[in-house]
Amino acid sequence: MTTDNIEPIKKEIRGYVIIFIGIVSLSLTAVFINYLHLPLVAAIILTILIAAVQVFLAAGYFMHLLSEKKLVLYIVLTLTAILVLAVLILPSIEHHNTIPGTVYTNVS
Amino acid sequence: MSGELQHYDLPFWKKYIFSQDHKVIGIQYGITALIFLFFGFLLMLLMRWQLAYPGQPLPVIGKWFGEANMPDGVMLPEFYNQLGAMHGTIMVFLGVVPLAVGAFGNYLVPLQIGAPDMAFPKLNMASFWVYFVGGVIMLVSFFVPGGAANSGWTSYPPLANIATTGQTYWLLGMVFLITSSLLGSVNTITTIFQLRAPGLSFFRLPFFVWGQLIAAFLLLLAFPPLEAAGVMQLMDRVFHTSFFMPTGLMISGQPLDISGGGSVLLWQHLFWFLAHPEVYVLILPAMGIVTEIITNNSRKPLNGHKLMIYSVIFLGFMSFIVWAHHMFLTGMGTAISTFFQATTMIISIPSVIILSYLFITLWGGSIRFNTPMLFALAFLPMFGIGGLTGLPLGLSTSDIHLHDTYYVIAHFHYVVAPGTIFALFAGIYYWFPKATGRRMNELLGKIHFWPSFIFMNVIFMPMFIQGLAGVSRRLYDGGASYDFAQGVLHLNKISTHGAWGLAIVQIPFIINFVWSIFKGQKVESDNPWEATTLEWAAPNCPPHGNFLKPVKAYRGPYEYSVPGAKKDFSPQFEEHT
Amino acid sequence: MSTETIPYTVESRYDTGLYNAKLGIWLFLASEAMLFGALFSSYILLRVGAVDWPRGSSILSVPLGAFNTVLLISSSLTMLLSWAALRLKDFKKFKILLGITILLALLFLSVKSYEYYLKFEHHLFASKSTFLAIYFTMTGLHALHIIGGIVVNTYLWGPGSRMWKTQPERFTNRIEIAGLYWHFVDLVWLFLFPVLYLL
Repeated sequence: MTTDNIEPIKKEIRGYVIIFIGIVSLSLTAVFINYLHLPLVAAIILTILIAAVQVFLAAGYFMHLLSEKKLVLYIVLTLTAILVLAVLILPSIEHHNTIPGTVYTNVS
Repeated sequence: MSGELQHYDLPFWKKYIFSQDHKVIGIQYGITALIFLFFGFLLMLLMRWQLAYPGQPLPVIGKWFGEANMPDGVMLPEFYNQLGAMHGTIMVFLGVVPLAVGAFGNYLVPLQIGAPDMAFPKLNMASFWVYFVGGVIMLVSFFVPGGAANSGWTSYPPLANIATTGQTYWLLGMVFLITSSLLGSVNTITTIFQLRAPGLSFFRLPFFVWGQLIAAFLLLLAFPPLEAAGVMQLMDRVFHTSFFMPTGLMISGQPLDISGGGSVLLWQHLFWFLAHPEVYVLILPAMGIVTEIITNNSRKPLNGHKLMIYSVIFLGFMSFIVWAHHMFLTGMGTAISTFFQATTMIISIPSVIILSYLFITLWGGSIRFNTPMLFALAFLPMFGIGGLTGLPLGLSTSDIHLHDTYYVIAHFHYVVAPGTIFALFAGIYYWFPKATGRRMNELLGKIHFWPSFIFMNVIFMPMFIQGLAGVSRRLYDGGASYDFAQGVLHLNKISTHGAWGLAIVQIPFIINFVWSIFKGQKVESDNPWEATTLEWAAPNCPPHGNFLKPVKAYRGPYEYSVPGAKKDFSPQFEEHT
Repeated sequence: MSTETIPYTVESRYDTGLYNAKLGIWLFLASEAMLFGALFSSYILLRVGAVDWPRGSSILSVPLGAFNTVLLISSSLTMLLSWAALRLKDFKKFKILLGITILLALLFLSVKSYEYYLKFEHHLFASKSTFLAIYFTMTGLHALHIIGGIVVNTYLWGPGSRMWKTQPERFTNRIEIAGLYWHFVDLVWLFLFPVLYLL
């Protein structure tokens, strides 16, 4: 990170502004979709998909993940991704897989 | 100047109290953790009196605990529960992990990788003091109305949600301890990745460093869910939310005025998501210490070095997907319990590989039976017993009978007490000359070792029998009120007498430790054990910056008895041997 | 490697391609991902097990949330541009852009406080339902992270910016690190807003 040239950085800045416009547009799209009052499952899938794309853009370009040297970041990110999946998914699977006759009392 | 270290002509408070030097911080962690370990042991000694002599007044000191806890010296169940919850919490979070990771990790990792300090010295200092504050909060909780947390170290709702004020202190203390841990693990991982000396590739790192690296990853990624859970339990207790409070809950016949809709299992998932990797954090530094000492005192290279490294990486990864084996009795169906049972069985494989290679390394070695080696050798069968007795717990069918019995207590104490703690003792004896320039006394060391080894087994072996007989854990009378337990009640006395023995025989250790700092036999060289790893290139009582000249690694970490070499050890840091 | 100074505080290490603080902040962000991940997991578990669960838009104000979302994404851009300005050696522009970032963050917090006030006014506290409980907890924890970011950014804007004169590269790196943290806070909101407000 020493003496960078001006032109490449100005190009980067143009890129950032474009990505910014993209992320904001996706947010507004998601809000618009909300007003369509879709059935819940469809709404969940669509909205999460949009959020995922936004996160990919923000992480990839704003946090310049896509231009870093790969190895170390892959380790950290892959591990986190797997674990977040484990934390998100396994407890809910467990919730649905019970011994017949079990009643979960958070549901009255 | 980038990343300049503190100059060493600093005022006393900057040099010893708010130091940024990893060695000073390591010693601060070490002393504090040893004091907490001792305190946690005292809590247990109190409990063991009640278990052996239920309902009887504790002579002489019983009255010191006040009317609220031990009226006329007789322990109340409420106080017993506080002792139990805090014994677990203090031993795990304030004692063993700070000693294994905060003390040993901080002190040795930079030295073993040839670095001048940790990557973030200020952060290191902050980590220690945040830990210290967390510890103070935990201790203070004994003195609030209602006493300390009393819902087990596991703090299950709804009991923990409605418990006395001490539980809120527990949660706040945990927030501090978790923060300290997170900052520390960021430091450790960055240090190991970034500050390795030239020539130190990952496969040339000592196994101790690998243990610390994986443990740091476990702490980094597993603690946050418990932090989230702690925040939610605080919300439940302070703002009366219902994260963990189910609908229709009645306390003493009265419905609670809460919104309901919460899930008690949610707490259990989040808690055990941390607590299972936590137990690997308890054992990995110990395995690292034992590996260093065994190779050094067998004068042999480590058998299966590469496979051990792959095993420890695999172990770290697997430790994140076994947690619900602590929850087999929550009504989970066969699909999920099969999944967790399978992952639990699989995770025993890397442990077996590591233990086996440590045994194999001994074979054909020139064994030196000094005190650190005795403790390291004892670790092997003790951890073996602990590990093997975990198998019936990991299989859901047998766990149905053993869950929450004394069998579980015996299993995990075997792994942590004559397991990890013995390894930590070994480490103290082994690295004492590096830190102080003096040896600890060998005779006192052996007086410490042999009775400790015997008493550990006297205390914990009977608990397997009690557990198999069905005696539950966390019973303040030790099972005295249950018919089926009558036949094994006498074992309570055996365990208690063993605990007294263990306590007495720590005295020679404490005397040895303190006396040797000032009057111990001075060592002749920087490398008195004739070891191969980089910390022995630094002078004893290493100065700020650690090494007198830049270090380089020329070979692997366990080059003992290399054919054709002049000495029976070829240090990593020497170019020609 | 010198025996006194810690290497790779400014220049990157050849094999990892990172300088120390960058690896450090990514590790920290990994732990933060687990923290918020655990809260999202709790949200899923609580919702899946609930008898009924309100659509977010029936309780929360989508226009306010959307406005806040745009504020936060904009602050992410200005933060990034302030770092770019430093790389172009334009200190004045850096100060303006970082200042705007801080202001946008403060505006976000004001809108959030107003939203909280609207709820409290109608006695809609966290204790009223698990939806409100998770809403207040997640947005509250997120707001604490915003406050943390504001504190760090203000320090770097104010007293911390003196480092530009003595160690410009190290200071530029500090802005990059603070930026990475700030983008992460924005990332969390990019999931938080749709999940809480739109579903």
